[in-house]
Amino acid sequence: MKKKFINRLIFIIGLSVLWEGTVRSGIFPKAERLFPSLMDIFKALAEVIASGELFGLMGYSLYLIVLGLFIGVVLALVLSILAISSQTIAGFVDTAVTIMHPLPGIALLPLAILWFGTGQEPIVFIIVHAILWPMILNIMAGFKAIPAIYREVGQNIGLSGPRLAISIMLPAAFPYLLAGLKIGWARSWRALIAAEMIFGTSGTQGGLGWYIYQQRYFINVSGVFAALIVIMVIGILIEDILFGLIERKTVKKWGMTA
Amino acid sequence: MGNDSLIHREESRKLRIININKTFTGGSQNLAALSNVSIKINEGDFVCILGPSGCGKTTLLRCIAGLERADSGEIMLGENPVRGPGPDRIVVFQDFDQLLPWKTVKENVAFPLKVNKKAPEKEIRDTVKQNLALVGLEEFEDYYPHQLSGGMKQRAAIARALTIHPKVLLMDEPFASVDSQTRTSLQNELIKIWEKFHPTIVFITHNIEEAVILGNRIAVMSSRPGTIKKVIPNELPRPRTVGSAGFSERWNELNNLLVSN
Repeated sequence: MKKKFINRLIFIIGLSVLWEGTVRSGIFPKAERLFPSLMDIFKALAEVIASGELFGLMGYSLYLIVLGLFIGVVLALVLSILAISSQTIAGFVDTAVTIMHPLPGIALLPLAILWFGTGQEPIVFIIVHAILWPMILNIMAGFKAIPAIYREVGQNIGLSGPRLAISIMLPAAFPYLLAGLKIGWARSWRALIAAEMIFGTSGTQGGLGWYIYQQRYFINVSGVFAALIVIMVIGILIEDILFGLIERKTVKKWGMTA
Repeated sequence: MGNDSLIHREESRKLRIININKTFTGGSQNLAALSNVSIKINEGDFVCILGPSGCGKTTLLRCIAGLERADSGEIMLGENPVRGPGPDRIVVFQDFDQLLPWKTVKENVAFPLKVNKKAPEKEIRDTVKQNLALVGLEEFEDYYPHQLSGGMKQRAAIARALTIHPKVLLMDEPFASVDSQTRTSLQNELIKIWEKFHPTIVFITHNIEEAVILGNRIAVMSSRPGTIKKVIPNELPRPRTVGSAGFSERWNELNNLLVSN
């Protein structure tokens, strides 16, 4: 963990030096506009933080993604549990995953706008699409990989049906569930930012993606980079801190690996 | 809990396996695993089922557990035919992975009681403590299974099996994968448990020595299809060791039965 942190720090410092060197070398004309110095980027970042605007943007984006992830995970769980209890449903789910999984969410945007209008609904729709299919794939793979002995132990002490699924199958498949959640998170985070850039606001509210779009419009490149940094930092925090914490508290503690 | 299992000893808990047959159909050929297997096991008896690997002894045990269904014949526990798995017949498997990895030792042992809501929370805690002490795991109650040795895992599995006082304890070569020193101490502990509570035990093994040390009766099986060749009483005085009087005679007798397959 510590070594990972040091590696990352070295990388970030290296990148910053390279960046600043490039800006100051004057390779790019009008650098201050299109290729801003670190100082300008941090000034823009400080401004958006100080004005409190950042928290509104972050809050809106995170609210949408949490909502989308929640709906997506619940749907994936329900569909997967139905699929393991019925061959017919398994066929439907499998077909749906095969068709929908390779379809980029952005390709569905025009449709989502026609169906739901602009605002929160189409973005949540895109997020759900981004997480649902990989999540189902992972949960199903997890269920299939459960050693028979766990199920037999459960049946032996008197569990069956939904109780067996909840007490044995779900925890036994948890490493796969978590892997699915990680993939789903990464995909839906990207989908969210992209979707926001196309029709990011509902009324006065907007998220980070919308902010980037706005700043481009004003040719405030420092602002664009500031928002990109925030997006990256949130990504790293969720990946390393949140998922790392969940892993330490669950699969690592249990000695289970997917 | 000792009183409990003694008070409830009734004739009606007799386990009867009546003429069961089981054939596995897979691919191009059928495998006859069990053929006309019958045996009566009294309540509180300790029966070892001894046979070479692949003779169908595990299949027999799984049929009793209800994890496998016999093609014909009947298995009766007291007045009730066995129709599926149930907590009156708890299996201790050979596989070390029978403990649920996401539960601590304590939680694993408490799990059957929690599932069957057999007792209030405090009583469950007490039972779990007693049973862990019985198998010498009280200091490891908060460990997760992956932190335990194979022998400790099997001990925990036995403690878990005992918590809901099953009518029958079905043991499928539970000590086959531990080193011989651990095996000896696990055997001694099992005998102690049996002498204390007298649960009905059906113990599968391919190890003649183990069968002689443990069983009250030893059923010798032949293979393909699995049949019960002979059931011999084994009344050597306990504790038994390889050097006990009569041990080698019994060993030879069983060995001859096995080789004459």
